[in-house]
Amino acid sequence: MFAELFQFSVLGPWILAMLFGVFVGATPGLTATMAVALIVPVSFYMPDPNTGLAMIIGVSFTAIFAGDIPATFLRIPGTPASAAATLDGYQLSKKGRGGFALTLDLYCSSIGGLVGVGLLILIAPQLAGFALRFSNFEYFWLAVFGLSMSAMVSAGNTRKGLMSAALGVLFATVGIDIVSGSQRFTFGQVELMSGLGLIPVMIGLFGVSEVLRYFFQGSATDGASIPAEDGKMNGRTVFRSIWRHRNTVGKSSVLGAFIGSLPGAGADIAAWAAYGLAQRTSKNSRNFGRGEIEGVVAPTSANNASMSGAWIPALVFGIPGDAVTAIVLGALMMYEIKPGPLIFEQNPEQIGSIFAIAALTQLFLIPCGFLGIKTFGWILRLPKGVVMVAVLIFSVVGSYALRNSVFDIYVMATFGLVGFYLESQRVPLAPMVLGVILGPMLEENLRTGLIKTEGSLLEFVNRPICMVLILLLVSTFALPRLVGRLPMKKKERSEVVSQENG
Amino acid sequence: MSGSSENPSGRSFAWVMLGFAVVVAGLSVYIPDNGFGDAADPGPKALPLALALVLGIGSGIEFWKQSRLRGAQRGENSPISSGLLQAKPRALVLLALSLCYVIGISWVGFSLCTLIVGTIMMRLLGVSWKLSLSATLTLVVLVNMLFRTLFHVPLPSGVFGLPV
Repeated sequence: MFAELFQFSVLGPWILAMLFGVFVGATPGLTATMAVALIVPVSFYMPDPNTGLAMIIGVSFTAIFAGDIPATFLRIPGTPASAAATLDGYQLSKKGRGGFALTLDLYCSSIGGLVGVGLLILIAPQLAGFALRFSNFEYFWLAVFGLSMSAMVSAGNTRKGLMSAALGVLFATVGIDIVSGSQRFTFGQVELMSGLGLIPVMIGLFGVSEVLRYFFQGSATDGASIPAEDGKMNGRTVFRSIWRHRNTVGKSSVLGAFIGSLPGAGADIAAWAAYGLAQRTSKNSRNFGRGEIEGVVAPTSANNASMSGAWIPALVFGIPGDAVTAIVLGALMMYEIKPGPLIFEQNPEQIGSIFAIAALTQLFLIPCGFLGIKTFGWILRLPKGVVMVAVLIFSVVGSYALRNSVFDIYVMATFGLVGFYLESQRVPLAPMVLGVILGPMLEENLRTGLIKTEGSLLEFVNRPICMVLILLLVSTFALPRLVGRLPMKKKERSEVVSQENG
Repeated sequence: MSGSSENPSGRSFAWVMLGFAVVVAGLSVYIPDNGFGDAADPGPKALPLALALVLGIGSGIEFWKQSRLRGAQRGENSPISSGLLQAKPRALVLLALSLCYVIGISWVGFSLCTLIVGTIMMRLLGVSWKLSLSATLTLVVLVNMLFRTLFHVPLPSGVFGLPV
């Protein structure tokens, strides 16, 4: 079975699909979900089911990684899961270390994916059983935990970070209220009834605002110009960095796999949660948002790990962990693989193939990812004016492409102006994106939970998993403050002082 | 003795947030409650009102902080806000062109609008005419091939109904 995967008839389409995933993921406005949806019909023409499965699994992992390429070089997340990578990846890119950041990103994605696959193989049924114990109350606290990250990713300005998060949650209320069916802030516009699209909002906040900043700053130093020598990446430096931050890689991968296993919580939430946790537990937390390597390592490990985690409830219960897995489940049924508790007994060979394909994909990700990084890096050596106008054009097309809606272009432009203004006031944008992603999850689960308990809040605090989440929340805020009050050793104190003095 | 001048940028931000909070609160009051919910459900207005309150409190704190700052500490205009205050005409023209592009794309069509506006913008950013035109043309062809041909995304063709 394993040897069959290395036949050219399987390997060829597999690699081509992964290259397609790199291309789609790196194009703003095209999502990993879209990449998988486009590859599924093609995969049906393959004579061997293994080929079809390999194409589908391969494209999903590479698209998630590839979204980090424009996020790092241009500050435009290629996919929602890459938004966290813009914070430190782009800052490294401005220092001429974009290639290094992306190489690190690539290896961490591969490692994160392997950890996720390992967990999938070892403990899929147990983890799935645990994931199913999550109900409205647990999801509510998970959303609160995620939103609390907004205070952590605010680069020292907690108040403005929380205001930014509040704005994000507010923007997420636009549309039809899912509980009562009421229209909120739609102003009679049909296009607003389904809410503001996450992609146009993200592209506007990060990409268009950056273009506007370039217009107003002229040929200022910031911007993602890629020096020619940046292409020569020292593998030893990268591996040394990964080894130095191996704890962060490990923690983020496990967290990502766990969050991915929760139905409805996807790679974007996993990436932000890992970023916030890494910042909170790092000795260099002050450097986050300024090109800190841990800020690249954490989200990139988590988002690929979450793709593996999403398979856990999908295989064991037939409940997809995210939109990508939902499409893949449909494809599995076409191959007569029926997800469910008996899948490991009834389809052991196909399950083995899926595990092997998922693991090998993480290894093939590396050469495919390098190709994507080199290609993008070459493009960015063009004059800055050409690159920025190209960014604007792709931002417009990317916003339009998802729903074929000109209205989404207006949304993108509006948020471009909003992002430009807020950044001029030193308001961080990352919490706003978190608010847009987690706001609906927070509100829906709170209100549904209250309806279930007839208004009682007790159920939100007396369930075991809720108590654990509350404890995690309190400890991530309280612990660093308590540690900060402990007397520092002289050497540590001088290190902190020298860091602060830059 | 005590510098009492404040950061105009900081205060204006506080005013903007406060104004936004008031508008949101005002609009939230008119959100209809269709009655499909439950007595225990706080309703569709609750969250927007709560968030308006958070923004109002945040802007209040911002006002307070600005009033406490001394003159020397307040000069923290970011490079961007300095850029806004003394915006070059070229930057404003580029901004206007960007807005024209966004609005005009559905009227003129994606390809023609991109070709015209993209070339002018690149030229304004210091790129030569030859490179501007060839780069924009390449981008238009590339986007059409990718999105229209490969992904079957019907790009706006404008009121002229141009084939590209």
